[in-house]
Order: sequence, then C-alpha cells, then structure tokens
Amino acid sequence: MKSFNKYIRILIAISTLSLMACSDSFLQKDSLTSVSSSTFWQTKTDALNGLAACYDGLQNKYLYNGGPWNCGPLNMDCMTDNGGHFNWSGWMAGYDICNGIHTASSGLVGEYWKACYEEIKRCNTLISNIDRVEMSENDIAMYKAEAITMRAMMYTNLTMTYQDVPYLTEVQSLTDAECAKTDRATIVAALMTDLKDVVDALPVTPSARGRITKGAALSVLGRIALYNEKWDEAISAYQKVIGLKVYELFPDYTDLFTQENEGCSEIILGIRYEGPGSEEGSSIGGHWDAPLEAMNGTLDLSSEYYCTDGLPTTQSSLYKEGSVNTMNSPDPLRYMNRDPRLKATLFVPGMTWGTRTAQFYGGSAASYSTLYVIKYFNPSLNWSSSWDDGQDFYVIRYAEVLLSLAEALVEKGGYTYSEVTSLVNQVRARVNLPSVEKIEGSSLDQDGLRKIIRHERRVETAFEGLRLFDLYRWKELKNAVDRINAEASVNGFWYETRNYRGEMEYEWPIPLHEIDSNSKLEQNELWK
Amino acid sequence: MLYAENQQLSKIRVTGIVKDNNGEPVIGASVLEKNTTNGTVTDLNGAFSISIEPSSTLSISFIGYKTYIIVVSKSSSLNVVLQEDSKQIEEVVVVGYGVQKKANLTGSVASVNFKDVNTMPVANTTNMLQGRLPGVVLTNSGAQAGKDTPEIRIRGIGTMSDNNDPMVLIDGVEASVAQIAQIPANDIDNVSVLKDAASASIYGVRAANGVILITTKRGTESKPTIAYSGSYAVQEATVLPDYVDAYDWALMYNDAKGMDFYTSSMLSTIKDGSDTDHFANTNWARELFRSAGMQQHHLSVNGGGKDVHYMVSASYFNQDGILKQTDYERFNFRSNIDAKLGRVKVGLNLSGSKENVGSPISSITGDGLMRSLTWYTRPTVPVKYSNGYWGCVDGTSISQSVFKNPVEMLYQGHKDDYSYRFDGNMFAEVDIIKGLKFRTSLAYKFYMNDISTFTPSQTQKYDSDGNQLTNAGTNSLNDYHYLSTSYTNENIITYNISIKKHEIFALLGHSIQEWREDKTNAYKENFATDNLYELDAATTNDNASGSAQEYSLQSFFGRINYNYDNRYLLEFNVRYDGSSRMPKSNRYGTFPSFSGAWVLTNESFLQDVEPLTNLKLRASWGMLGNQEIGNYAYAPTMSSDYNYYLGNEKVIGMAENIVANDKIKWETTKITDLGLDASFWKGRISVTFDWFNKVTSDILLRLSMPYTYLGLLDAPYQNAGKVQNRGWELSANYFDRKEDFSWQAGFSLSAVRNKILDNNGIDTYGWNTINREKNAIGSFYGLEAIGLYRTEADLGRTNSAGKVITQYGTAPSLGDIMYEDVDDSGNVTDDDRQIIGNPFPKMAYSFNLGAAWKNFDISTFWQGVAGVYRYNWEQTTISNGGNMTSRWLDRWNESNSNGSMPHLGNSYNDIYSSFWLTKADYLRMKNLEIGYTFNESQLRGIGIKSLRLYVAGTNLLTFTSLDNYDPEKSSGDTRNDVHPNTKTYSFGVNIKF
Repeated sequence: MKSFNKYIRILIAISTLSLMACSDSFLQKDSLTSVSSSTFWQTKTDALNGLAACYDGLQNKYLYNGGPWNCGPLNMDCMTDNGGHFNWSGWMAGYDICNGIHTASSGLVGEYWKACYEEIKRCNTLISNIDRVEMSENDIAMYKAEAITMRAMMYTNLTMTYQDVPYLTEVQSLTDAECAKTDRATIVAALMTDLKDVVDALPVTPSARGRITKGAALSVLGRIALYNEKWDEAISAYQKVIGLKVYELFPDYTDLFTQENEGCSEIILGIRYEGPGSEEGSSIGGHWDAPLEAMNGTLDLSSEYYCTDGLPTTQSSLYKEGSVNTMNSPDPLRYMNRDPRLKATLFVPGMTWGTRTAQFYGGSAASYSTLYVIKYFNPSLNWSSSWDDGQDFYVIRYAEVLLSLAEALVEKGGYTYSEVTSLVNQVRARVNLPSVEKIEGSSLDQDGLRKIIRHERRVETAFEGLRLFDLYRWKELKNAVDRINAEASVNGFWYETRNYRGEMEYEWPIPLHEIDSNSKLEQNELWK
Repeated sequence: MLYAENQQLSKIRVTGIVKDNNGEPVIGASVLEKNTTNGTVTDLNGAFSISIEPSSTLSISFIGYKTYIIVVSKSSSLNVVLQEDSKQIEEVVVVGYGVQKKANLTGSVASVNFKDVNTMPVANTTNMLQGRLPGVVLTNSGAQAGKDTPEIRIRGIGTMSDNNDPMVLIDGVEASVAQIAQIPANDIDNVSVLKDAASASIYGVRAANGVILITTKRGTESKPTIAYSGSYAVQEATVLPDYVDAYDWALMYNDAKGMDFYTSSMLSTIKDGSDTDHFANTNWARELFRSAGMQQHHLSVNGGGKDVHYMVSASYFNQDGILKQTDYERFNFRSNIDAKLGRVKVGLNLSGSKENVGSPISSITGDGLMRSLTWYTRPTVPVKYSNGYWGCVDGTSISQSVFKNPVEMLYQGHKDDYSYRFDGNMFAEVDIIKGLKFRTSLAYKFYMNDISTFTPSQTQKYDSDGNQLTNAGTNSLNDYHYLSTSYTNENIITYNISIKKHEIFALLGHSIQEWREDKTNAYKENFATDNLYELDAATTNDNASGSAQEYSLQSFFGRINYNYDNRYLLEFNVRYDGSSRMPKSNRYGTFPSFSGAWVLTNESFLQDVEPLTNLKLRASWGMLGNQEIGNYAYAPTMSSDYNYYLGNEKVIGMAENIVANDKIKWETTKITDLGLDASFWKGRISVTFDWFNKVTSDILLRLSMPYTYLGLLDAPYQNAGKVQNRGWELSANYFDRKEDFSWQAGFSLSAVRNKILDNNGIDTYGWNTINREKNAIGSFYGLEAIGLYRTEADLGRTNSAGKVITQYGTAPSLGDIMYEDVDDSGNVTDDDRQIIGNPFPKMAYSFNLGAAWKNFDISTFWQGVAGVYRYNWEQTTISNGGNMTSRWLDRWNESNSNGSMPHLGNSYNDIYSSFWLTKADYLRMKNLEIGYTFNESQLRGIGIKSLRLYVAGTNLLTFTSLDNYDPEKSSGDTRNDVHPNTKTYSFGVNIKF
C-alpha cells in the first residue's frame, strides 16, 4: 500500500501539469513573426515604415517592375507598335490585350487592377492613420502628400484603362467592402484638386533619393491633366516643374539608363531598386546572358529613329540597307548612322551582348522581329544577377516633362512657335540631332508640330511604359495594329495577327472577379 | 518445471493441443482446473501442459469459442477442438479513448485488421486502407518515391476551407495523414475509422473530417516470438501517356502554327532518321521512367511474462522510384512496453524513423519535371546530341528557352532530403477501487526535416553543333531546416459498474496540447566548384529566413455508456475544446453527441430465429468542429515584408499581411446516422448498412471579395455557408468452409452526395471551379462544348434573334469547338460558363474474394469508382512545343472532318470546357496474393515455427475509359502533370521463430 501511495503521488504530480494550463494565457498565442495592427501607427518610425510600404507597392511586377511573365513598363510597350511578344506569345501577360483577344477574365486585366488597388489600400491606410502619429504637422502633411501622389498615379493608370472605377480614398471594412464605380471625369477632377492641395507640403529636393518631391507631384498632376486633355492645367503644372529649376537633361542618353546615373537631375521620380543580393532588386531587365526574345522590338519602331543628320531614313543620304533582312539573316547595315537612342533602346543586328560574340540570329532563340530590347537590360550582369538588378526604373524624366508641355501647348493652340520648338530642340540636342527649325523649318502648322512632338515622344520614351496610353489618347490604336500586321506580312515574320475589334480596345473590361464578388460593380458597357 | 514435477507427485500431468475448427492452433486459450486458481494458457502452437489433481475438471476457454469441459482421471495427452460460438464472438473495436465490444457499438465505426492486409506490396502503408473501409475514399495523386501519401476523405468533403484531412491518432496521440505512411504495416495491429459524430465527438473541434485511430501491436503473455517478414517488389507505371512520334508531332505543330514551320525537307529528315541531332525521335515519357525495385524487411520480438509485456521491432524499407533518380529509404524502430506494478500499470511507447527521399532538385508533380514532359519537350529534340551535350533545340528556330529537358533536370545538382521522427508516450493507470481507474499520459513528438539543395553552375545550353546558347549560371546552396514539436498531457478517470442487468461505463477527461514549428532557411551563392555542399564554401548573396508558429488546445471531455441486458445501448459523449486559433470571445466550443442501439436478437421474440444470428439497429446524432484555418487567422497583423530603399538606406516597410476577421469561430458539423448490423447462419454472412446526413455550417470560408478591398492579400475567413454530405454505405461479408477448402467474399458500396446548401448567396470561383448553392463543392465550371464545327451549316449557327453566333467576338472556323451560347447573346464569352460537372464519384465500391485449400491461399481485392469525371486537357496551340498524345492523330482537318479532336492552333479551343472533361470511372485489381504456408510437420527440426511464402501484386489490372493517364487522378490535376501511379509485382516471406 505504501508503494501504491507513492505511485498515486507521482500521478497527481503529472496531472497538475495540465491544471496549470487552465489559465487564459495558455490559449493566447500571438504571431511570432508579425506585429499586431492595433499597436501600430504610434511612433515616427511606424509612420516611416508605413510610408516605405507605400513605395514598396510601386515595385509590383505589374506596375513598375516586371519580367517577361508579369507586366511592367517594358511589357506595356510590347502591347503597342513599339514591341511585341512574337516569340513567346501566350506566355506573356498582356499578349492577349495586344492581340485584341482578351476578355474580362484575362490575366493582366485582373493583375493590373489588383496591383493598383493594393497600392491604393496602402496609401489610404497611411492617410487614414497618420494623424494618430506623434510627429510634426509638417511631416504629417508631407507623408500624406507623398501617399496622395502615389494614389493619384494609380488612379491615372486605372482611369486610362478601365475608365470608370471605384474611387476609394479611405480604408474599407470587412462589412463594407463592396463599392460602386465613379465616373472618370469626377475621379480626374478630384485627383487634380488633391494634388494641387498637397504639392506645397513637399520639398523641392528630397530628403532621400526616391521620395516624392514637389516636382514629382507636379509632374503627376501634369500627366493626369495631359491624359485628360485639361491643357491649361497641364501647362501650368509642367511650367511649375520647369520653374523649380532643379531639373536638366542628362548629357548622355545611353548612360542615363545605368545605375551610376540614377541620381542625376533628369530623374523626377524613380522607383528605387538595389541589388543584387539586397532583396530589393528588379527583374525588369532579367535575361539569360543573351538578348531576351521574350520581348521583341518592332521594325516599325526602329525605322522611326532618324539618321544622325536629323532626317528620316526615307530622306537621309546616310541611310543604307542591305539586300536581305530576314529572321535568319538580318541586315545590320540599316542601323548605322542613326539617332543614338536607337541602339540605347533596341538591340539590333550588328550589336554584341556584353563580351559575347555569339550572334542571336538564325539560331534557336532568334527574335521573330530580328530586334530585341536593350533599354534597362544590362549585359554586364550575369543572368542570375540580372533578375535581381539594382537599376532604378524612371517613372518620370525631365525629357518627358518637356515633351508633354510642348504637346499641351500645341493642343491648346495659341502657342508661341519657338516656345514649343525649344522644348523639342532641348531633347534633340542632347543626342546631337539638329533643331526643328533646321530640319522641319519654322512654319509648321499645328498638325505639323503635333506630328513632330508625337514622333519625338515615341523615340525618346520607347520601352518606358508610356506608349500604350499615348496610343489610347491619340486614338492611334487601329493604325498601330495595322502597321504591325503589315510588318509581319511584308517581311514574312511569324507574328500572330493582331485584332482590332473596335472601341472596346480602348477600354479594358472590369476584371471578372470584381464583377463576381462586388454586386455594386457593373461591367463596362462595351464589354457587356 | 522440474521442480513442480518433483514436488507434486500426487498430481497427474495433462498435456494437449488446442485447435479451432480450421485446425489452427488457438493461442492464449486459458486452461483451468475448475474451482481452483491452478491454470495456464496455450502457447503459440496451441499446446499446454498442466498438473492437476486426478479426476478434476479442466475447463478450456477462449474468447469467441464455446468453453470445452472435460474430466481427466489420469495423465494424458488431449487433442481439443474448440467450437466457434458465434453469439460469443466479442470482437473488440478501438474507439476514442478506449476499446469497445463490437456488439455494443452504437456509432458508426469501421475497422481493418492489419493481419489481413499487411503483405500488400505497397510503398505507402496508407494505401492498404484503400477500399477496405466503406465511406473512406483514398485518392492517389502520384506515386513519387517517398512522396506518395494519398488523400483521405471520410464521407465526402464537409468544408470549403483548406483542410478536409481526417484527424489521425496513433496509439491515442495526434498525428497526421502523412505519418501513417511512415509506420511499417507489420507494426500495426488494427485501424479504426470513426465516421459518425457519436463516435468522433469525443475529439471535438478537430474531428469534423472523421477520425482514424491506429493501434500498434503490443506484447502478450507468451514465450518470445521472433518474426521476420520481407518482400521484394518490382514497380512500373500503371500507364504512361502515349505520345506521338516526331513526324506526327511536327505535322501537328505545323497545324497549330498554321504554316509549314517544319518544312517538307525537315519532315523527310525526321522520317528517315538521317540527322537525329537536328531531328530526333525521342519518346520522353519512356526516357524518364523505368521499372524499379523495392524491398522491405521487418523484424520483431513479441512476448512477455506475467507482469511485463513487450513488442519491439525494427524495419528497413528501400525503394527505387519509377522515375529515374528518385528513391526512398526508411529505417524504423518501435518499442511498446507494458508493466504491471500491483494495482498500477505503466507503459512506454517509443518509436522513431529516419527517412531519406532522393529526388532531383526540381520539383516533380505540377510545375516541374512533369510539366516539362507535357509542355516543354517535343520528340524532335534528342535527349543528348551526339556531341554529348543535353538536347534543347532541334533544327528549327524554336527557342531553347521554351524547352526544358526533363532528363537533364534529373541529373542536375544534388538534393538531400532527410527527416527524423521520434514519438514517445509514457502512461500510467491505476485501479483505485473496483471499476474505478485513473490514467495519465504524457506524449511527446518530435519531427525534423532537413533539405539541402545544391544547384550547379554548369547549366549552359548548347546546340548540336556545339554552339553555346546560354552562359553558365551561379551555383548555389539552399539549406532548409524544419522542426515541429508537441506534447500532450491527458488525464482520464473511468468508472465501470454492473448492477444486475444494468451496466454503466463513465469516462471523464482533461487534456492539454501544445505545438510549435520552427523553420529556417539559408541560401548562399558562388561556390568555387560544383563539388562543395556546405554554406561556408559559398561566397556571395547570403540570404536567410526563419519563422515559427505555435498553437495550443485545452479540452475537457466525457462519456457515459449504458447497457441494459445487452438489449438497449445508450451512449453520450461531450467535449469542451478551447483553442488558441480562435479569438478570445469565441475560444471555447462544446461538442455533444447521443447514440443508441437496440439489439433485437437479444429480445425473447427474436432469439433462435434461424437463420438470423444477430440484428442490431443503431441511431446517432452529434456535433463536431473544424478549426483548420491556420494559427492566427483572427488577428490583424502587419509584417515587415514591404521594404524599400529610400536614398541608400533600406527602410523597413510595414503593411497589413493578413486581412483578419476577429469574429470567427469554428465550423460545426452535425451528423445524423442510422445504421443496421446483421449476421446470418452463425455469422457466415454479415451485413452492415449506414445512412448518414452530415451538415456542416458556419463554414470558415475565404468568401470571394473584391480586390479593391483585398489588394494582393487573401480574402479573410468568415463563418458562412452550409454544406451537406448525405449518403449511405453498405458492406457484406461471407465465409464458409468444407473440409480442406475454405472461401470468403465481401463487398462494400458507398455513395455520398455533396451539396452546398448556403454559400452566402454568392458564387465563389477557383481555377475552373465554382462553389455555388445547391451544387457540389468545387463543381467544374466552364463552357459547355456541344461538339465541333464540322459543316458550313454549323458555322452559320444563330441565336434566337437570328444573329450568327461568334465565340469571344471572333467568327469560328471549321474544326473549332462549338460552345453553348447560354445567354443567347449571339457571342460566346465567359458569361456563358456554367456548371459542367463535379469532382465527386457517384459511387465507390470494392470487393474481395479469397479461398484456401490445404496450404494454399489466394485472395484478390478490387476497388473502383463510378460516375466520376476528370479534366484531360491539352493545349491546342502547342505554345511551348510540348508533347502531344496519340488522340490528336484523330484531329479535325479537311480530310478528316469526322475527327474526334478539334483542329490545332486556336487558343479559344484551349479554354476549359466540357470538351476536356473525360469520364474517369475505373475498376482496378488492387491486390492479388497467392501464398503457401508450410505445415508444422514440414518445418519440424529446422527451428522455424511457421513459414509462409507468397507472391503478390497491386494495380495489376485496370478497366477505365480514361486514356493516357491514371484514372485515380485528383480533380485538381487538370493539366496531366502529376507523377504516374505504380503497379507492383512482389515476392515475400513471413517467418516466425
């Protein structure tokens, strides 16, 4: 019996283990890797961390990052007459939009929407909570202004594609997650008012490279105004940017797109990347030690670049062509004596990839168009590093501001000729091309100037993600589609046919998932 | 023994052998001198020896047999044959926190005695359960060596949330479905499945998907028995896709591209095989797979004296995978010890295993090797060129970048995948007063998985002329470490009392359980050579990550059984669970159940009514829970995954990383079950039938929400929706014997209908699937294909308003798939999608047949499903130049306008539609086994007690309407990129010493 009691005591000792557990804390397990949201937004550090997350949202692969499968600025141009996904076709986000066969359930239609609204959510979170943080009123105003500018960039994207979209300016709750559309004009008006209200809270020079400045916010305002044909607003905003007198064109166009020069005074807003190995690299220029046939340039774009004498290839005596230009045997001759921006934008026959001597034609990975993209690609990085590249992406450059201002002035009418041409001439002079006056003369009418500006804009900003929206707003999509289809048939290139189904090509459908999960949302009329 | 003989000369010595009707020795029968405490038990040969007073009465008894009584007057040797007593068969079944006589069960419990199945030549023990348990459906999604755990579903799918796996307990300690695979079959005594709420509700919040109880073998009071069993098997794929050869493939590619991509001269080169470097004829499926061997060895020692019993075992398993460069190896040990210390019983279970999974560094199922096979390889490219480089291009301009050589991938790099498991459980039980017991236990589990993956730098691609097409990469090493530990402490009081015809059993328990997992991952690049596999040898790009999670559960539970005269049985269970996964306000939940049974054959009016032996009616109702939503779903948190460089400083970015819902509680499943057990002709025929209605409500759903709210995050869990699984299960068994010949047969049949009763009024979408009210979970959602456009008249098809119907805004052409224009808009779009099927089979069935004659025995087991559809999709645009199956030979073209497949090249034909849904019914010979057991007389003198030799096979025959792929594919396998299943042929031996 004695030993029996001993056993009993041991058993009681073990079972008290479990009685200890009856307290509440035993069942309270908090995340070991994340902090509770309820304790956030208190300190200045919290505010900065929240702001960093807003900037981080811009690095989304469907916004200002990328890679062949996602989207990003380079792929945006592959949906235009600048480029295409001729080799890889169905793999590439946006190929279906480009080919005019997309539907409301197409990949990019959903992903682009998602990326924009994620960023809007992060900005709205900051805007709704920043007032609780203990820091100076000026800092609070500045943080808010940065978030409002980023949010405006997203609504610019959304209104240029889906047109009327839900306009959210505060954080939603679980029970109030469904929302209706606001029409594009109302959103645009609100964005412009917002931006004008906050620009003065922003510094002219940033406290840290990458942060939004007064110039950046004004440029975003200018872009929204330009895209929506508010010429006066656009002119005023862009003139204010120039008036800040802190921006100038970087002398070497080719070197502009390298990591050494990402801090130069041409860059008004750049998305920051650091790498390789910093977990903050970009995959915009990801490659496999060779030009990437996943993104093709078009002959149509290459022929837009003038010869060094400032004349188009059709007129210049400097222009020479070889006898054949086929996929297997492309002609390098025609790319000699050309605007230097050509070889800074496209990888053309005759160029070498870093130190590699291999030819990229006639083999297995030959671009169907004979052209590849080189802007933002860095052949000196090996393939694995190239997917983790430290090169910033430039969302807004001073050159675009100059050309946008020129466009707004011409479209508004009543411009001074030299005021317009001097803007274009600055851009041309950087690449040693003669002035408008020298080549096109001093008596162009409005349409003549418009053509020059649109041409300059295309060659200056190709593969920077602007072309698609330019085609949309200039209603040039049909012409662009026709030119590329002709390019394929004339040269015998294996392009898939691009369709133009009418007005619906100018307006993206609301993603099917949104229609299905948000009863207040209606599909766009043309897509019903 | 000598001592006993010398001392008690006045006694007589009686020896004997006790056998049953079948001539099998009855082991452990008790032999008693009546009215004394003098007794013994029979040994493994059924033999006994006892000294008794002359002319006293011997009583020889064993559970399930009529007691044999004989008066013995002088020393003698007896040959006793015990007669089966069907009324007395007291088969016991393992239930939650105990065992119960099968006769007294009130709930729906199915069980498998592993003696019947453990020689099946399968690599994964879980597969031995397939078809053996009515209402339990196993689906094999690929038999990659070491990664072949099937999916187990009990009575349908109750929830649309992530986890439908049943709860698994091994010797009372919570485990996982994956862990069943790691137990050697020879260690398992039996498996019980608790299907209804009455039997499962004692496990409360974790039991909604059913409960599987696995009981391992324990020692008995007997001389030590050493048993060895071993087998060797050869495995091969049940079916490999029948890919077309290079010539036919090139024609298909030309069709898809709408141009002579492969020119006529190339085609003739392909045909005459004159330049296989540029135009090969490779069958990639055959290049990847092989026949492979598999062996297992198991050694155990089982026995015990009066107070201490033991079962110790060790085993080794080694398998080469049918996919080249894959293999699996496992070592196991187990030790189950029980000791009696007066009124206290203590025990210790220890078990452990070490596993090595050998596989290539790239994944296999899904977007890995298998997708390379179906999407990125074509027969015109050789495995290797004659210059020795791996093939990646043929003589056309198709890019190397859309080609992934799966054979090359097999041989690239180096991967070590080791896991270590240790389970220990110590328990003690004390008889406090008669009928009152207290049991306490402390179980500890440890599981560690280390995966080291080395990616080499030498991955350049070349063409057949030796031109380098890509540069070398950077070599890198990734070390992954995973550790999960948990402990469980249980304290249970039971009380058992019989008063006249009333028998009451009561149980009261408390348990706590805590679990934690830790993960770390370290990565580094740039090794000087490809032969160094440790991080310190690398030089750049350090990258480390780590995370941990915790979870705890506290529970109180109880049970009352009441039995009146073995006629009326009642049971009540309740569990009160508190879980750290729920917000404080909803932390605890109560899960009760009630059940009852009426044994009609114990009523006077049905006694001795031939041929009825047993008839019992059962009814039960109860509630169960489900909390499988991750560990922190209710708490809104922010994480630092959103960093950004501002200037040259990396600033931590904090943003919401979970859309949380702080109002969630567990799902509740209510099951009503009505059942009947009957047996006839002294048990020669037995039948069990169950009808059930299982309704899960407050389902934890990630209700589809707009991206405008979610952004990139997943939708939060919400308690919404209701799902019903209603069905029935029938099983019957028959056995009989005549002289040297005995035979048995059995079948089971089950059907369950899955229906969403409430999905919050909305539809939620998956990849080609939909959850919609009044339909099954994950119903296939897509366009209804109503044939192919074969004639001009077809092309002119109009809607009711007379508009010629377009498909996605374009005019269809001949050979296109014709879709139904559901909304009659005159244009087929995504709006015309509808429910075109569901992933559930209408019926699952199985049957077994067995016979024995003298020393030979043969048994076969068949299993099948009926009324099931699976996607069998292939891309008609061949955008990556992937292999095509032979069914495309019958594609539509001008000269084959009756072709069964559409023409190639139109991406609108790639859309998931009913065209790609294929009937996947099958009937499969799961097992065939022929054995020979040697007689004792044959083995005399060689030190072997018993010996059995057998040959066996699995999946030897399959009848199905699905071509090219194994019909046991999961509904999620829409692209046919899952590792094939295997069939095996084996030879085995079981020896006892």
